[in-house]
Amino acid sequence: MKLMKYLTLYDKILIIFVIAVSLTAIIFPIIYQWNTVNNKTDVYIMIQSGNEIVRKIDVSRTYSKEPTYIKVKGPLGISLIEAHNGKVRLKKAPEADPLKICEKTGWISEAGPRIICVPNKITVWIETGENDIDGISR
Amino acid sequence: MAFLVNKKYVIITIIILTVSTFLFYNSKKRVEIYSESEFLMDTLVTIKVKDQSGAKEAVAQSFTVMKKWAERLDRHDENSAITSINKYGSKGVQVASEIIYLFSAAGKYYRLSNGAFDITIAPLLDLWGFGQQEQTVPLREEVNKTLARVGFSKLLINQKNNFVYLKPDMKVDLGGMAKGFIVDKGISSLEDSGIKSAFINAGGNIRVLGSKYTGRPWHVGIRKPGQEGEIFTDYIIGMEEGSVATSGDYERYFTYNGKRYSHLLDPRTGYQARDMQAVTIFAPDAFTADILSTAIFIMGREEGQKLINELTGVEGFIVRDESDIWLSEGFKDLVINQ
Repeated sequence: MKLMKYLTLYDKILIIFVIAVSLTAIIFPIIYQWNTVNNKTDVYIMIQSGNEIVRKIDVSRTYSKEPTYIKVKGPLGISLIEAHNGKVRLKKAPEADPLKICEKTGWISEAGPRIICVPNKITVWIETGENDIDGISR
Repeated sequence: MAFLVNKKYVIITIIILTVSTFLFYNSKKRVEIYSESEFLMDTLVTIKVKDQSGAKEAVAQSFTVMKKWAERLDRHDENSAITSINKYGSKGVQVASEIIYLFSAAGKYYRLSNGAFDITIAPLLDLWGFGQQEQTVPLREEVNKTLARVGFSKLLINQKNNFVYLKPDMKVDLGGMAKGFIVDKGISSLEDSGIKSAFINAGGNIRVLGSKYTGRPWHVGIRKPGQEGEIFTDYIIGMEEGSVATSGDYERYFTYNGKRYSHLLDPRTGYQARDMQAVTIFAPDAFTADILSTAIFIMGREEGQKLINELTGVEGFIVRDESDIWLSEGFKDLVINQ
């Protein structure tokens, strides 16, 4: 406590300020990381038909006993999309789709890969607030 | 005696600390990204830019430019420049200087790849049915007959008056280079609109402009050949400039009697190149990356590796199968998670 006697008011202000800045520098990234890890509501299944986003589904809603089915219309017909337990796939492409490549893609469960149906112009992907991957070279 | 008796020093120190803390956090702050996707060139094209004033208009303009070029270079579009060349090339067709530039570049890479990259491959693609509803495995005699109509050395370019001449029955297909060229046009358009941070992905042909935001490059995954929807998680690359393109035998193919036949045909033999599953090329621009990914896939690993090492600014990632991967030295530097 002897030290306190030698400190002026401005010394004390400076010390308090330095401590506050240091604590902010430590605590802020921890809080940010915590929110990023636990913020499940920031993850969506996105469905685009042609050039338009037609559905945006909160991934947390897909955690249930029964899968969620979404029918999306494209130029070749109806594509059936299945979402279940955080994953999504294009379950059935229209009969007129010659190769049905998007059916063969299977499930996707994270941001990055996309299910792309070129003939029926339908795209499905998972979006998070901050995607780790911006795109895929295929 | 006090440590700091002067009020002035305290105020200056507090200001310096406050400003530097603000600058530090501001530099790490995530910026908002404006993104649009459209179906173009038989694939999904996505543009991402930093969300700033005029971003929406810049992206719309970039799509307009890319659409215009996609139409001009599509040989299946009746009104395209390429259709004119394929129809009237035997008499000579005058074309825009950009088309001459494309054809000249095609000639350069034809020579560099010892004929593995050849835009006169169109008759072979037609014979196999690629780009059409039905694909077939042709008879060897048909392949040999068609090979006589293929060969860039038979094509003539007159750069003085911008004329292109083809031998009768020859046709060109710019499928191995057009996407890259169009992506470059899209990036140039964004730059002209004042955009400094951008990312275009045209079905895997990717080019970036600047970093995503300060201290964060654009992150690009490479697809695993066997599994659609999966990437090589150990080889995610970070890009602040340049382009990547991948050619793989899984993108456009048909299966006959249990055997896969991809659209990546060797123009010298008329049959599929089968030495590897996929090639990813990094190059300064999308045009070069697009051409080289096709050329090197067809050349095969040994010759391809040699060419990658010879070319300045070009790096490669070659997958024979998932347990047999080769990366050039410079490509290793691009990988952010190794």
